[in-house]
Amino acid sequence: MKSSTSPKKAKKSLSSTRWTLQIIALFSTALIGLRHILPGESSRGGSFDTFCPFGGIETLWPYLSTGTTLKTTNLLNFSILLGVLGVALLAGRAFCGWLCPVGTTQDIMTDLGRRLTRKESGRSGKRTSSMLPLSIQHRWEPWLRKLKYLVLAVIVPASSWTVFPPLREICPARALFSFQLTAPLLVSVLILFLVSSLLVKRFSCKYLCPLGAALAPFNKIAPLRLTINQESCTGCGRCDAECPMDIEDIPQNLRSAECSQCLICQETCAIQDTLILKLG
Amino acid sequence: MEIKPRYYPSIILTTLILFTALGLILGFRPGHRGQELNTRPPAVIQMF
Repeated sequence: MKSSTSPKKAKKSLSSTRWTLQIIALFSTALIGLRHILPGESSRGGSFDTFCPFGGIETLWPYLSTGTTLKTTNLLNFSILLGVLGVALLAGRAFCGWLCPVGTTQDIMTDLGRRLTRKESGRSGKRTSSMLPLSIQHRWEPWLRKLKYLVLAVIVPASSWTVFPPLREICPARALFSFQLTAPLLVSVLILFLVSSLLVKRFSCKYLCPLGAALAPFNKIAPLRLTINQESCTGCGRCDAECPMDIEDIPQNLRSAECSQCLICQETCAIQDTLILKLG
Repeated sequence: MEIKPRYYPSIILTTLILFTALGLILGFRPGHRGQELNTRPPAVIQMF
């Protein structure tokens, strides 16, 4: 008898693969942070900041104009940035959806919020609803989403007259994984980041992350992308409901700059071969 | 060309590793201990 993997099982497998990758990326970043607080380790290979892809963007202009990178960054930042840009050239913001440890932390916090506020409804006790995550009002949403581009537009020129990377003291990745909460500002950033992630899905990704803003244009040109079979799409809105980036009308917005290429829409689509992954 | 979604993670992970390795091969990496880390030109620039 011929055995075959059911579509549901294959989709489940993709979801667990994404979680596995995200968790590996999260623990790897935490290990890098831990390595740099061990005695004597900080002198080897630079600081925690040298593993940041956005550090490469921050230090690019100072390096090109003066031949020196900003303090706490070094040439390794450019290699990490090149890796992230490689992914972006092929698959848009896939780094955000699959590999970013900050994105993973937000997913974990949102899930935690959902579990904490879960309420059983109905007599059978099977249906559940939760208060969290909250939705931002529609009228504010487009403006808030533009904030990350503003952060990017401020940070890049600011780096040309600073000694340290401008984002260093307010970076959630550093607050989460460097294990060096040296400044009160960084503690505030950590608390704000965790609370906002608990309340709103991917708050930082949607509204604040300058790396996401820098990678967003690649969604428009990336050759590895989802396409839709309009004939089989019923417009049920299931993909919209599950989208962690809260993109509306996904079938018409598959090239949205906001998409983190997580493929959750493809996973949740009830009709087979409606959302198709294509290269070229 | 249609790609099976189950290959997607492998594709992006391989791309990330390859491009990061390319950067390291081009010389965008920290120097040895004791060497100034943020002023050394990368190997690809030193070639010229």
